Amino acid sequence: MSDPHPTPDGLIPGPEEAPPLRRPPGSTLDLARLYLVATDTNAAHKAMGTELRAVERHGATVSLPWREDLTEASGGLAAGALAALLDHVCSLAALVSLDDEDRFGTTMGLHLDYLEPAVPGLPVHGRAECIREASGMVFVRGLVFHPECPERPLVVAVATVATAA
Amino acid sequence: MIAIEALIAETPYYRFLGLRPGPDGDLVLPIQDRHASDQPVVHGGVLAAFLEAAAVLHLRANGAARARTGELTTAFLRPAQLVDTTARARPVRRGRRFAHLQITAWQSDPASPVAVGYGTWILEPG
Repeated sequence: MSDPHPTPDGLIPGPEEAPPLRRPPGSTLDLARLYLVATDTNAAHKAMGTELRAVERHGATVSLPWREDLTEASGGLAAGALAALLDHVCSLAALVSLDDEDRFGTTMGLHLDYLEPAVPGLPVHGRAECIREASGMVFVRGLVFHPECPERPLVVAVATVATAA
Repeated sequence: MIAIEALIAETPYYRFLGLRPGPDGDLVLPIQDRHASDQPVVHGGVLAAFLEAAAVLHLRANGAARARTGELTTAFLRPAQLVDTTARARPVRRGRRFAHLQITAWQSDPASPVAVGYGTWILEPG
């Protein structure tokens, strides 16, 4: 089937059901490359099936599908899988906020508050945004929520990412 | 006391990580390709998940019917090479409703941990 809406410059097609990724104003990042970093070249996230959903000037959203092998005994996505998702989306938010791959360092700290367990059978989204860059660190906050209910976070995170010296 | 093997077997995500019991109640994350990040190191999120698993399995193996993570802080201290990682959970205080644990993860040298965690677990009746 032919696409009645050809992809304009600056857009790359996202996953089928997701809206196309758009480079936020003021950003110089290479979206195609970011998509690969978020999804494909990161072995841990490729194995979990994460997808990059949206990019903001200082933030990012990543989805994690519900998959039986990522669950805990309750049948919901496991606390550890949500930890891995938040680590990932917080570093992506730091990367897009810095807007310079050469200045991107490593995650130093990750604090997670588990407000409630994930509902069995439902996927989640992780969204993170950079609050500030100061003292050689990027301060990021993040959330995990069911896309059906974004106003009710399941996990709240703060992360610190070092900038490269 | 329930064997760690049986507890790992009943949690799909722990099987996904490939967790194995180690000596003295420690937990081992045998290295797998899918634990790497986009660099040749173990992904930080996988390490945080490993610390979480070590705490929950410690509580379950020591009499807790259910242990749900309330909060967890992880400090990533040095790059984790693509080799096996071991974690040891130490209860700081275990009450009736809540348990506070400190978890240390290391590779070749326990004195040079790759990550440490501190958190609160909610103890629930089975």
